[in-house]
Amino acid sequence: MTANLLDPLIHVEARLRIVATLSAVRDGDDLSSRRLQDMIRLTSDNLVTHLGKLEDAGYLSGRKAVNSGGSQTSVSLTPRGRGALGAYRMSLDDLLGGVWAPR
Amino acid sequence: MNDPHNIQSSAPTEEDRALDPQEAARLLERTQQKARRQLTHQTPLLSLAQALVVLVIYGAIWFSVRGQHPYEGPSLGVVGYVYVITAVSILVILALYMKATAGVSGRTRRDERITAIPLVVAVIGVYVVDGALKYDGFSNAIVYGVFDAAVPWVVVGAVMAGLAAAQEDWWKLAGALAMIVVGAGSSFAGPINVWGILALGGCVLLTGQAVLRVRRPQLS
Repeated sequence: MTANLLDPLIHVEARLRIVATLSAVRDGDDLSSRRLQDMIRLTSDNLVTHLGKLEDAGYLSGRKAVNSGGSQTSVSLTPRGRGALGAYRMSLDDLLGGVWAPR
Repeated sequence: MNDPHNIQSSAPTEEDRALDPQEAARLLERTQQKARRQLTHQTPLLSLAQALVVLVIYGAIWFSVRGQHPYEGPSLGVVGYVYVITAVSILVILALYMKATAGVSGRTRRDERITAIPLVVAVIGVYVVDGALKYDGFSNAIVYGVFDAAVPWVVVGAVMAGLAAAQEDWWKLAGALAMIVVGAGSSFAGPINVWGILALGGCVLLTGQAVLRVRRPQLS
């Protein structure tokens, strides 16, 4: 069994959790980086690093908004990111011989 | 704690722990399910609680008016009890909604405004017409019976159906249409039994919604 088929950008525990969490956000919605951090319980430094890598790859986009409470960055998966997660699921399914049925 | 606001930053921290495919599959599934649960307030348990609230509210009114000849409407005590339960239910739902959507922006926020404005206007409109009917001398059986019980269901259902159709949310549309059918159908039962029909009909609809949310969690 090999993991070479799996997208190395996603096949890392922290980034897989980020991408999986953002995929549960409705299409057209963004999630604040603070809420994302609360949901996946990564340290701030780790989150920044992994979000930067995913954004550099075009898998997610960030949007900074300034409001009364200060500035806040919100992130969402791009269509490319959703496609990459879909492909990652299919690769996992191939590797696991259909034992794991992706939704 | 550092603020993870600037996502272009490249701090040298990394946790590139290799995953085996089975572990990755489990993690992906578990994380998505957990995120879906955290991002919605519409859980099967909430639907069941709403079913119970509808049963209790409409059931209490039916219980208080049954046997009235001529029909006068629910007593002030029951009306007060209904308002308190309704207010508490709305506050609980709002609190759950705000917790679930904290940090979410975009389409959800636009949908809030699109939903709230016509819904509030429609409900106010219903009660303005209610007042007009009383002013025009219609009987208590019409004003505090059939109209007060059934018409809010039809009007709110129609607003929700329009919004669901615009959002192409077919399950929500089916629920809204069912609400209209139950509301309109119940009006044939007369000013007393209309409350009983709505207690049972609303309870069945919301229990069905709970079952649907268990079977198809991605709809929540």
